[in-house]
Amino acid sequence: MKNIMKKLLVSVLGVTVLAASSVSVSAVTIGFSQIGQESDWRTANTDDVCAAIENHEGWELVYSDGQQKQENQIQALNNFITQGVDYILFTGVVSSGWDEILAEVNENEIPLILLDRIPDCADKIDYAAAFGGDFPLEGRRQIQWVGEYMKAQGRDSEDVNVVIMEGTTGSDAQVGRTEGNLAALEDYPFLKVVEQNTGNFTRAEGQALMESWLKSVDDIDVLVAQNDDMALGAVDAIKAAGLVPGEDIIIVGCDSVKAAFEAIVAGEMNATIECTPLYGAFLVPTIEALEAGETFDKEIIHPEEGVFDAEGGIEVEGTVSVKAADVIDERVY
Amino acid sequence: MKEKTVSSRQSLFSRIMNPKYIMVYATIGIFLIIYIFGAIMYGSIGFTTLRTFVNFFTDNAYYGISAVGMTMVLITGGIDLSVASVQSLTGMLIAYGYTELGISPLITIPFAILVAVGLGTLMGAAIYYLNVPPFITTLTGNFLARGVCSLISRKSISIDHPLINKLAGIKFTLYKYADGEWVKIKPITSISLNVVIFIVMIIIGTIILQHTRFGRNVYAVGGNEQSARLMGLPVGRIKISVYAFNGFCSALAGIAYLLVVKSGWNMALQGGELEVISCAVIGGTLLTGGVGFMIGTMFGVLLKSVIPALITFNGHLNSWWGKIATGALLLLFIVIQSAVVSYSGKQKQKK
Amino acid sequence: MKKTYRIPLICGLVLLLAGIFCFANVCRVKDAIYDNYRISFSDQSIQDIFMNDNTEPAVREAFDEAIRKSARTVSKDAAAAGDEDASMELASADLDAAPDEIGSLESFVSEDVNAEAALADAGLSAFDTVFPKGFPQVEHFRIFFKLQPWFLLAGLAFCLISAFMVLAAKHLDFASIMRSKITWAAIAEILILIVCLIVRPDFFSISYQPSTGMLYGSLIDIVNRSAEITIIAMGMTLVIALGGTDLSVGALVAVAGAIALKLLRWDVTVYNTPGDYSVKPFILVILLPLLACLLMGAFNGVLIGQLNLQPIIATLILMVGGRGIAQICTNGKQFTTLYSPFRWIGQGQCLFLPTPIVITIVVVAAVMIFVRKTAFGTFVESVGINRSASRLSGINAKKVILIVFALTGFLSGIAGLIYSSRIMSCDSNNAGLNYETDAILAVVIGGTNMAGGKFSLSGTIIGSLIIRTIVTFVYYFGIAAEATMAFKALIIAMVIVLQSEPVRNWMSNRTRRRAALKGGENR
Repeated sequence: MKNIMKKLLVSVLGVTVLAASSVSVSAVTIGFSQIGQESDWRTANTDDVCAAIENHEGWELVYSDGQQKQENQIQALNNFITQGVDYILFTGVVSSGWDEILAEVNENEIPLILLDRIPDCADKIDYAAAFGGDFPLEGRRQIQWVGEYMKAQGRDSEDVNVVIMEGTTGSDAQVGRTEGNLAALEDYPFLKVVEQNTGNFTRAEGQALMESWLKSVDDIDVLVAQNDDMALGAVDAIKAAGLVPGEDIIIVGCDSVKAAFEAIVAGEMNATIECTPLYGAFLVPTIEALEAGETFDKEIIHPEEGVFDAEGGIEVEGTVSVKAADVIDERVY
Repeated sequence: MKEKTVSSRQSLFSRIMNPKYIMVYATIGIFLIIYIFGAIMYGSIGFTTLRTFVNFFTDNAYYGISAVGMTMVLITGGIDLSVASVQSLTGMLIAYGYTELGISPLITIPFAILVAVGLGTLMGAAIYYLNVPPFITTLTGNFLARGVCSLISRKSISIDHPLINKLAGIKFTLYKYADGEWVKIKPITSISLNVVIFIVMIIIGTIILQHTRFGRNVYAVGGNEQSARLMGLPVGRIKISVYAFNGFCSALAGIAYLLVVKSGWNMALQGGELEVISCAVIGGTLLTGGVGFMIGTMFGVLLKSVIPALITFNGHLNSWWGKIATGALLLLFIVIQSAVVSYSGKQKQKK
Repeated sequence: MKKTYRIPLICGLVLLLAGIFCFANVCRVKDAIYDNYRISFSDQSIQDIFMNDNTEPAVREAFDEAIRKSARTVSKDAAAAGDEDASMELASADLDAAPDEIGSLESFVSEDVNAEAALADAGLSAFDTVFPKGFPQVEHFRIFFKLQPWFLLAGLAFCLISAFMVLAAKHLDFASIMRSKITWAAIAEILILIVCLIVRPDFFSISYQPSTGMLYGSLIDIVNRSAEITIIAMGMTLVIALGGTDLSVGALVAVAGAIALKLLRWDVTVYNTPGDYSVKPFILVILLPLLACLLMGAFNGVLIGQLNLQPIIATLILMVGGRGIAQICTNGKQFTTLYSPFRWIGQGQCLFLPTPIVITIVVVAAVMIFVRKTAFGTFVESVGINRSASRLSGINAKKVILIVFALTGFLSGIAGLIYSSRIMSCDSNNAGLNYETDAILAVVIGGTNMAGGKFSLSGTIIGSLIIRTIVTFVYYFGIAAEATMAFKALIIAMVIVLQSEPVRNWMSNRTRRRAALKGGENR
């Protein structure tokens, strides 16, 4: 019995050594540490980036899902270093706390490409390129859209009561968009913020929060939701209170998911500010360029983003809104 | 004492083969099986490197430190669901204290430890004197710590203090002797301070549990509280000090985590309490109390690191397959463990 | 233990609450008048309602007062702004429309330069204030005005009756009431509600919403939104009575939602496209998720009953893996449906109440009957107290465990359907997040011992209401949601301290001693 065990052990170890010594095919391996799959937006982001890399000849993707936990992502980055991947794509679940691990990535001389959310230690580390959404701009655009819309409606002479539904506390998107919201409010003194609370970026909590607000605040004119899911949840709550979403309460979302477009076309939402998840299109040329030896500035590249509403033609910072019905068929996520 | 060593030398083999260690052996065995599996599957892309192995310790060192206290709590038959949020709170206190208020970590670190130990003591007292179930007491503690954390700040706060940087920078880089000189192992492998704390805490925990009167009392309380009381053991004092010790471990783990991320975040380590508990339980600690070993817990922590490592090395698992794989491995593991234990139980009965 | 005392006590409390509703509703109407609702004054139909001779005196009175109040502020504003022309225009337009009000106001503002303008403005804003947006609601406010005295009268009567009942119940065993954990849970809930009442009486208002056909108010929300936790906690009570815990319920909520949405959007390969693509017959959309959850619950039961695994670890498997399964069902995407029969489950109305409330009542009744009218409850308790002893007395512990966990899975499935119907989509990541802790808390606050044994389903309901009341409270009063945790912790700490054995013993001893003293004197 013991002999058999010994032989078994030896053979297993032998296989291990053999496996360890075999040389891997020399493809460009790209490690992608994603936050998780917490929303439709994120799923679209993951699908797009993964598909772009997997479909590229000679590139191999190593994907790791952090399941919304920083510690999982740190572990994944650690494992990427061990595996000796050629590039690391990284989106962090939270803005701070990456100093150590990203410094280690630098130490191992693996080119780092930051996606979507830029960690606050970005100025202390080396990275090959960075692409990110401009959350403060999105926040400003939300308020600007409301302000301009109200002016167009001739309602800027009276006080307009605004409620702001924030995202998950502490997330980059919430911090940035809230900052943008508050900054833009100064230009529109007739917009009065009466309530501000977090709906955790989910439909269910957005719904419950709106339900309470409708009872505790007497007159809500505008809902600014920091993502479309919360806005869509709030639509149901507004209906249940016997009000008409989109008319009695103006609703502005963010992200521009397809469900929001449908709501805008149906008249239940008024506008949504785009925050594109489709990074594959400009990620591929970037990596190709890096492969060819080019370098990029440390500047963060913001993708072009639009604003969509029912009528179109409202001017906000840097762009003019587009009629949602015209572009709804082009939305892929 | 002398007599004991003599007798132990005589029966070293039988002592090692003591059936009470069977769970620990099961854990170690399963760790080895999974490791070998990983080595066969992903050896070519670096699973067998020393760095991967060291990472098993590094990745979950903070959970490991916390698991030391948790093991003790579980042995007394209790449970502590507050550990993860206390870790988060510790990090928050230190980061907020320095970055926002300008208080040196030299002051906030002892303060944070004091808070954690105080909370632990309070919970222990509530459990003992008010006879509230540990599950609920510590769940309340969990809410409280997380709530206070959120009240302190809604953002994640990074800390940039020389002391923290220095502590985080302590790394023992491993070298190998090749071609007549010492070179760094590639990929760079280093043992961080956290790993050292983790291993030291495991050793301290083992010593407390196996070689002190206090440790024996802990087992006695967990085995049967009623009879421990009748034997005249200070049950209250033991229980409260175990929870206080766990609070200390949580604070230490929080500091260890702070060294990794150098920031405080109110949502950090969410759900970590279950990770810590499952580390201990996988390591053979019974939730019903009275049974458990630190060394088992250590391998529980390693197992917790191996599973995600396998998933990352695979590199093609979606979020959902990752979750299912974790669940399936957990299932596989506990079924094997229970099979081993019930088999050995039957063997013992036959004898 | 005698249970007779419960009926008058519960009746009394219910009636007391009803009295508070009435009070709150009157407050709400008053508030509505003072505060700012907007509707055009020129709307002829509104004038018809309020400016004819049949108008209730109460309406007129409230109305007058509102006009007076706003006239004071408006006249100051108008004077300050010096916006004479615009105001004058308004005045001339509306002066004829509301001569009565102007008459009653003249004494207040006659010396003001812009008197007339201010008056007209005041009239306008006063009318605005009475009505919420949208005309149909005027009707229901009118009903309120009519019922106001009745509300007050009924409230007073209810309070008197409950006081009488408490007096009548005096001969009952107070000590055992004080010892009951449920009493303390109920007291805690009432304390929270009293705080709400003091801070804002209109928290208690309940009105009828004609457009949806449902009752509408914060208290309805609390009951409505607690539906999921209450339903799950029914199963969790039994699980805890067995001495276990089930951590997988939250994940099962996600699974049920995912399967239901997959069946509703059977066609979908691309993202959301509105329309009806449900699997037919619709009943399958309901039954299959429930069946799946039942099976997953049974899986837990097998692990724990047959393989003797520790419940926390055994259910941890599905807690981790379950969400993965949910994501597989929908390929990680959030499907959205517009299928109206499905909407009814979470957002529809049934007997003037939101459907989830009715579903909860049905489920609670069914579980109570199943547990209390058969021997099953006793089986559960005996297995929870001592498994081997119960085996000796002929109870098949494995079967009991299997049934309890399968039932919990099934109930989680129901909760999952409600959750996903509320948002009309599935959310594998966030659906049912932390439901396990909430459900366990509800059970324990409700007085069931974590160590197993005796359990109380009615206590669990109160526990679940407490948890939801806290959340609603936080939202309603605009407390930062981050504080919810700390807030929850404080309230739960309060409840568990009140419920803890030494405190309860002390309280019941005190009452007993006092009762004994009094008895001695009487004799």
